Amino acid sequence: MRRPGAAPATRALPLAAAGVTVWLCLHAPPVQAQPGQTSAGRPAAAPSRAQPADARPPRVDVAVGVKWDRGGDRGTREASLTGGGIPHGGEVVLFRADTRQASAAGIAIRAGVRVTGGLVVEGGAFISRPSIDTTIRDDVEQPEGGMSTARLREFVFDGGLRYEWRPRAARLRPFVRGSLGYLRQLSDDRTVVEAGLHGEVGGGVFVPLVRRARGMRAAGLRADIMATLRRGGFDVDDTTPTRAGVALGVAAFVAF
Amino acid sequence: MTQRGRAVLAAAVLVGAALAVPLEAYLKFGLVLGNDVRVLRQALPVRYFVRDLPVEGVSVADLDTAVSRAFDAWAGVASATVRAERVGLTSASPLEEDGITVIGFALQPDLERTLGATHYTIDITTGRIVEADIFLNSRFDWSVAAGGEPGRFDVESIALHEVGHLFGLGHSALGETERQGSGRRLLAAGSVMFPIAFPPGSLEGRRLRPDDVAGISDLYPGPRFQDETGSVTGRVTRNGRGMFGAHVVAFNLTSGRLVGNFTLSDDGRFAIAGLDPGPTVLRVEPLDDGDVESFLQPVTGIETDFRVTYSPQLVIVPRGGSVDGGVIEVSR
Repeated sequence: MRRPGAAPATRALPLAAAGVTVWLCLHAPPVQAQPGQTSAGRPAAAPSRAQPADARPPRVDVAVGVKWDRGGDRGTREASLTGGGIPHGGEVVLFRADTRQASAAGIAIRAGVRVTGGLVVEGGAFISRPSIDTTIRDDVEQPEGGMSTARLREFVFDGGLRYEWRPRAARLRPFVRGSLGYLRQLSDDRTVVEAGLHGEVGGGVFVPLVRRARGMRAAGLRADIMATLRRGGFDVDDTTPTRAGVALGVAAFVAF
Repeated sequence: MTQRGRAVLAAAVLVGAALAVPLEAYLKFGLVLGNDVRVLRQALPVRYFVRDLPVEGVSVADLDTAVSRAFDAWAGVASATVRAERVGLTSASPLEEDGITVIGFALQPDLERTLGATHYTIDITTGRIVEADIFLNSRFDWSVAAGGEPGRFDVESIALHEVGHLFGLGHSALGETERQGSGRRLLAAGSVMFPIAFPPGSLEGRRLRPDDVAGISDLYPGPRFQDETGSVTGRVTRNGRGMFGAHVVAFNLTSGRLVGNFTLSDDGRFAIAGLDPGPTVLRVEPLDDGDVESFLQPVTGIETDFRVTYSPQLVIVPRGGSVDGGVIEVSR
């Protein structure tokens, strides 16, 4: 349902809608108050039905920032030899190798287009340089074990939905979101590529700091916290194909 | 010294000379002809005879079947092209030089610790293998029982190892042993080509391991071998100096397969081929699980007084390519 005063309803003209929104931003009085209030601070009359133009949710938003992925376990393997039992010897473990993807921060870019109400279609990309660390233990000849590390290049391209709330009196705009995307990991020398799926479910908040300046409806900070699920990529244990993790993001956003 | 004796001696000496230069991958027998180093490789198919001499518990038919299975196991490696053809039975001894390849029992009472051996007769002017005989020492007790037989060595297992030599593979060091009297007792092995056999009654030597498969495929690569596997190269050093004769094991974290090779030059370089693509751990260990001379010649200059060391670099082996594993510094 669209509110009175919102951007044109036709989805076939998103650019025109954005243009109208920008025009309204440029010609509206300076923002002095939160959505749902007049500039004089008086309660708006029936704000849910007739909000002023500056209270309309942005049509398009773009965020660029930093995302931190906690990484996680990527499996354990045993290097085994065959024992000398009779007639069959069974396995004798030479050493064990625990592999995990280390936490890493990278650059995250997200863009959303509001389709209706608080619902936003969102897509994004994440680029990082995590490492894969393998810890060696239980070596039959060298109890101290060891550590081997490889640096990766990781890319995630995803798309999904975001739902925003616009509390009348609150400055913040909380949201929940979910996305599914393509995971691509390359060895540091780019000779090996592993692909997979990457999903995220979580939420966050927009913190507008600037309103209607230089053609923007708003600008500020965006914070995300996400539970991640991934399948594929560099993973040494194919018996546990889906890995869960956590990621946090902080970005600067602009909305039009 | 007989002509055969000269040929065998030549082969042994030349193997050592060949190993002094870096070979591309895996431990293969080499032959020096003038200034050239040639990898010892059979003309395929290998045509062989089985000696018609039974021993207690093993008939000629049993021996024939076991040897045939051993060849079939190597020929069954999908990534390699080795083939063999049984010509028939023969009364010829595998200890004779007669121009034909013979596999069978022979009594070698002086070889108290040798279950079997492979001898090449090589034309050292052309490098052609004239014959390659395998004898199984009949001073030991043998069996072909499907479930193994306590106290008796399995013919098929030992034949499988020797046929690997016949095709040109050297010994693998992928195994663990402990000293027992003047000899060694096998604790575990990761390769049929490990020089110390599984104990009598064991059937574990009948199954080729990834290390064996990598070796035979590297020597006789099938059409897709190089496209579907990868390799790693690198150096092992001690106090910055290259080390000859260190054993390097590549462990693929995804497949769990182990493939080993040695540093084969004075600057400590190694190359391991036939690896599964993916993240791979490199482990360096001294040659302390067997007599050094059973792996490499010459044995001088081979250091074994260092600790097992893992490469700090987790190498990611590409499919159809090679990756630089860097330098692995070992210490006492």
